[in-house]
Amino acid sequence: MRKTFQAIMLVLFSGLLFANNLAFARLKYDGGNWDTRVTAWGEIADFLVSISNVRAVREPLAISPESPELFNYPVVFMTGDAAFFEWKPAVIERLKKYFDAGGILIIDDSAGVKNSAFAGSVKRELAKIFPNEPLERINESNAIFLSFFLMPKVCGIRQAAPYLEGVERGGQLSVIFSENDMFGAWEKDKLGNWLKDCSPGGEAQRLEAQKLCVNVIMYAMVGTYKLDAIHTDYIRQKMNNLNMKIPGQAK
Amino acid sequence: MKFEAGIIALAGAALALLSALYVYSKADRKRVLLTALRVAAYILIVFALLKPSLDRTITLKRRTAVAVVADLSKSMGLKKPEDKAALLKAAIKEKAVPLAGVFDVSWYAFSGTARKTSLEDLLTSPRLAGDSTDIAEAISSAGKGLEKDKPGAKKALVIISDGNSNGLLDPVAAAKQAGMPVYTLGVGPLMKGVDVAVRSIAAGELGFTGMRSTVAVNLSGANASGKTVRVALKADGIEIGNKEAVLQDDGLETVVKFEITPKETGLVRYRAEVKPLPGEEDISNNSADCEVRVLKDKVRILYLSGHPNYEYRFLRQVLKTNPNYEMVSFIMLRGIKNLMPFPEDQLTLIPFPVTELFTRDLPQFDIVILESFPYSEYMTPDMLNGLARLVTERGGALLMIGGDQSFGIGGYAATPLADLLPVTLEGPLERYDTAPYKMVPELHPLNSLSYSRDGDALLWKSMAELSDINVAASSKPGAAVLGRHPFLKSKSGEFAPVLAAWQKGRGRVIACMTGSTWRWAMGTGQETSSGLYARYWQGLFNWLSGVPDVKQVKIAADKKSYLKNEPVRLSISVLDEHYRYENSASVALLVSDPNGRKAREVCALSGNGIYECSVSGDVSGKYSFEASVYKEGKELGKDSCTAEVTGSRSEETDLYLNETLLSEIAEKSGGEYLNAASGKALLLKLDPETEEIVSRTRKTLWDSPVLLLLSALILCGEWYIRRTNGML
Repeated sequence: MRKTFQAIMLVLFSGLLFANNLAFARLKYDGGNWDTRVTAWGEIADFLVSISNVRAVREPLAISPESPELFNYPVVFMTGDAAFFEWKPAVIERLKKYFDAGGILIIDDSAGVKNSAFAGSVKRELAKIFPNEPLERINESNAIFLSFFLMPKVCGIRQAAPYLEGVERGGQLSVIFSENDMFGAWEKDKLGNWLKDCSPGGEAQRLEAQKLCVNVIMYAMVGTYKLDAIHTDYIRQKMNNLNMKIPGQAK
Repeated sequence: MKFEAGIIALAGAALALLSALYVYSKADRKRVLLTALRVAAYILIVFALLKPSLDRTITLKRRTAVAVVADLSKSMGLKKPEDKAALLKAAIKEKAVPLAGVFDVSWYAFSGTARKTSLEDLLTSPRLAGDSTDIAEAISSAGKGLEKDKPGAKKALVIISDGNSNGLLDPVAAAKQAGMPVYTLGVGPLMKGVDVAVRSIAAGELGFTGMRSTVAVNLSGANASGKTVRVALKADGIEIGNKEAVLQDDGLETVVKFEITPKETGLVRYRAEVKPLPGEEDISNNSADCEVRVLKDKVRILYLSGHPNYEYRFLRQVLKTNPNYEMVSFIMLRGIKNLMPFPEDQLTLIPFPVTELFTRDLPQFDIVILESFPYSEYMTPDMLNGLARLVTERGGALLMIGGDQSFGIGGYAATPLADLLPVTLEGPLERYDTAPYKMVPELHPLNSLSYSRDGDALLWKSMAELSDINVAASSKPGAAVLGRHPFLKSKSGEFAPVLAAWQKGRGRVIACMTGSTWRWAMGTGQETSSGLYARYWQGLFNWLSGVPDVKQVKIAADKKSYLKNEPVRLSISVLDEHYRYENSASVALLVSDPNGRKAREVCALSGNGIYECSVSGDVSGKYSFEASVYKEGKELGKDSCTAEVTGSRSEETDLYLNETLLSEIAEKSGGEYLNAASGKALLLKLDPETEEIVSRTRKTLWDSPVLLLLSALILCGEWYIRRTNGML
């Protein structure tokens, strides 16, 4: 039933999806569970539209890496909480092309634990796609931590890793990987109540997770915009005023 | 005579007959006779089936043909440090003449194309006056001559030269293609004294004022390993730097790098000079020149985007990766209508300094990009007027990119910018369509992605679909429409323009009616198109900023230096005032030779917007070419370039033997190199004669009527014996 509804919505909104708006294209893969955060996407879209000028489509869609549609979406989201099957060489080649063309993959581990089976599968496949560009911790001076909110704390509804990881190519992140179940912080039931508790930080942690999530998406839309000199001077000044540690500088 | 299986069969048959006769004499004669006759008949049939024949071959012995090709260029007549003419004659006499006793030798002389001559001429009155030493051409032409004169014979070439080839083609490659071994006989003294040479000076063809770039000077030395030299770099005759360098071993190049920061625009001639070493005889190779066209420094771009979007991300990548661009960009991440549940100090957003940008800073920008930018929320009419003046009066450029806050739907129809745009806008109700479509490119230089029209068509075909368009009312007269919608029509009835460009006043404007060209970068998954996307936008930005590769008139020579009398091919590309190919212009070329003499030439149309002309220089030095293009009495533009004619210079200065080249020619073609000064004889590792089959005849033995008759007689005889003896 849900799938039929999604299909109808997809047809109705196809014009919008094909335009330049942010669409939550989720990578559909075999094995494991690719659709872990069903209700999060509409919430994220609503939030982005309410606080920023981002044009986001509420209805998520599933995209197979082998689908010709993949290249219509410069940002693709991937979630999961279990190990998944190895990707075929054709899928690896296709994703290589996708990243070469400028695509960005945002991966969030819904298991919310360090070194989960999902994370293992992700790292296994990324090593095939980027044999010479390992998944590395994203430095805190990266534009991703400045793209909208000022240095949000790295967390999700869990705090499995206090950092994001990524694959950087040509000065831009092609892959952003969170192990903290960042998208879990957006899930609501039909009555509008949060579905998942945040631990150990409670609701304050949820806000940080949501801010980080906005930053990640904003980065995927505007790249390293916030590293332009005109912004960094201002941000540096703001951080000084707030007595915050400026990344890369001894305080 | 050649025997085949049939002959063996015939011998077998004879043997069988003899055996039968022997048995016949010893046993029951009738039975044995019958058996023998039957066997004989079988043997004859088998013999016929094996189709024996008699072959006869006539062969002829042919002498191997050798062309001795002597270098009669000017450099062979140099008297110092040794008399090369005398060395040449000695080499011919002592090394080449003995070949005539063994091989079928033909004599050739060359400077450029090899021509046939006689041994007597070479030994008595050689004219050592050739302007060049074109060994590649000599190998090719002598090889062809030999092929024509001595068809069928095995062949070889013997090149007698100092090896200082200065032809257009690579002699080693020519030797490889000759199809015969090339033996080389080196004539001339080997370098004994010291020498330092500037092999090349390399700098980018384009430079920018205020921007550092590198000039690399390549030095080589002979007998000067470890010696220190001083290299000076001059710009238009004025020394701008000098450095010391230690020369590497002979054959290895030493690179000296200078950093230059041009201060003024224009053509700058850089010269690298090396101070001669003590005792250096040949100082003609101690300097080299190159030219750099200096343009103004970085192009400054102001990019204003109405909301976070992919078009911004992908275009930003193009602009940020080009060091010639300096971009200041603002994206309206938040609007006044947005709510913010977080305190301001948790945001990185900065106030949009619109007043400073559009009052104080605007003149600093060369290009302003408005991408789905809601001007009415931020800009006053005065600011828009200022932007219009930047384009029309100050030569700035405007790029408006589509979206739901651009063009008519963005309210621009009622602003001074509407007049700047190459399309006529509708009002706020202008259609903004988001159905996918493939842009149909028009034939225009700005749409060129490859070097050929067919290549362009293929590349455009591979480009992904776009996903939005602001449908303008029409394109304006005089605008160059670069691409159109395949089926959506404007109010004027034309297919809706997707990309249109024009010159407005002193500046340039492009209307990109879509905000989804990022899809060209993403491609379709079949081919990665990000390279094409970047190249295409680069071309558009170059045009907007007036970089010379999109000048209306552009002249280029096919090479930078030429030999004397070698054709200098000049091509002049001509675009009309709307930057479309112009095919009906008159193109005049003013040629100035190094002595200041001037001549006029007329260029003819050779392709779409391309006019060509060929001139040749007979004086060494720098030639200048200026193309002036007119249409209907109006000048479309002028451009100039230079080319160096250096034909005879090396012939007058090449004193020494280039053994390296001669050895390589020999080695690569299967021949051998010999220094004529050595006491060894020139030995060609070839058979003096080769056997050639001139005729071959074949006589078949099996289809003879005699054989048929014999077989019939045997069978009839056998039948008769049986009949008469009641054995049937």
